[in-house]
Amino acid sequence: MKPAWLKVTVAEVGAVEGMREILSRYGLHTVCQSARCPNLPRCWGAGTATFMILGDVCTRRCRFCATRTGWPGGWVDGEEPERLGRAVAELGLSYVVLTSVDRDDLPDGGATHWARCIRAVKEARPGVLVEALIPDFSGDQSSLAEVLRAEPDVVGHNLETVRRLTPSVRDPRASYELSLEVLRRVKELSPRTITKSSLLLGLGETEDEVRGALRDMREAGVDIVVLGQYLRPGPEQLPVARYLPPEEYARWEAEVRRMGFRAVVAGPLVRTSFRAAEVYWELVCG
Amino acid sequence: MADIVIPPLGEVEEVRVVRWLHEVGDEVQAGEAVAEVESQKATFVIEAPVAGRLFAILVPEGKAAAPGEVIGKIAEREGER
Repeated sequence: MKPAWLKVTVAEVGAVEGMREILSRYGLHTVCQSARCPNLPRCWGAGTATFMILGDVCTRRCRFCATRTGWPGGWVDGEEPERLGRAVAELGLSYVVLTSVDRDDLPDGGATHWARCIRAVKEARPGVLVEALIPDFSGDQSSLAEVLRAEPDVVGHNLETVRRLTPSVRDPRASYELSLEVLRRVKELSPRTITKSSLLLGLGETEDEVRGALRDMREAGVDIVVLGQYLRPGPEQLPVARYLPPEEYARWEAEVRRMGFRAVVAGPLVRTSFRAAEVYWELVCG
Repeated sequence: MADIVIPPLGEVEEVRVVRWLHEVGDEVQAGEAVAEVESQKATFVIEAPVAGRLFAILVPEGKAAAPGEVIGKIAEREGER
């Protein structure tokens, strides 16, 4: 039996089916589906989704994630940016969150496609805000610069877990230091871009380790911190070490604010893109 | 007679009925929570689609069900159809 605070009400069947129909008509993937996210009925019911570009096969195998692993061998759907733009226009979205699988099979890690997708969304829907939850591009500076030239409004890159647990939680090609470097470089290359990073809690980390990760994020110039419960997608992924009660998230939220971050979202069912638009506006409007 | 259906939950293929919040014969309101089902990640609260009397529980507590599956039936109140 799950803790009482991990409860979601589902009622909006019609809206969920409507979103599914649009996504399948435009041949788009979402992280909502691949992560088997429990917020899906609520978010889709409210007409919002987090699009996952560059396919639904990831070249990495992180042990918390349910996305399929494989080697697409350089395949890229060149029409995806245009279809994405059309879907965003049809859905009438004013804030779009994009994420992608890792594409270590591509020389640029998918950066060119990322930039095309951001531009296509902005062209299809003038005035739209785009949040890009990017991979590490293996630390390639020109890939990162390419994505930033498309002017995403928010760039997210997740640290996912504390330093000690990173090797056992994330794929060996990912690293704690590399992820911090990505966040740092985004701020260097584009100081006005808002940056965001998330930690999954309940993987076996200590509170001091979480504090250490938050300090590292702060030093890397991260603006928005997201803290959510790690939820096991299936039997192949890591088991949950601990379910944190809502009070602990409230405590973390207060502590993160005291540390000087510009915004924080924390809670058992919080994910990186959860309430993304509201958080952006809170931050911008102060 | 109205069906109580597990709604679409994205890629979740199977859930387990963990709790029925009413017994057969109970009056329920439209939108009232009638059952809780659990995926690997969280618990979903299933609401009554119409007001009426819980007529049948087709998937008992502890058993698996799939999104789209009918897990119970509600006999609608007279005159509400």
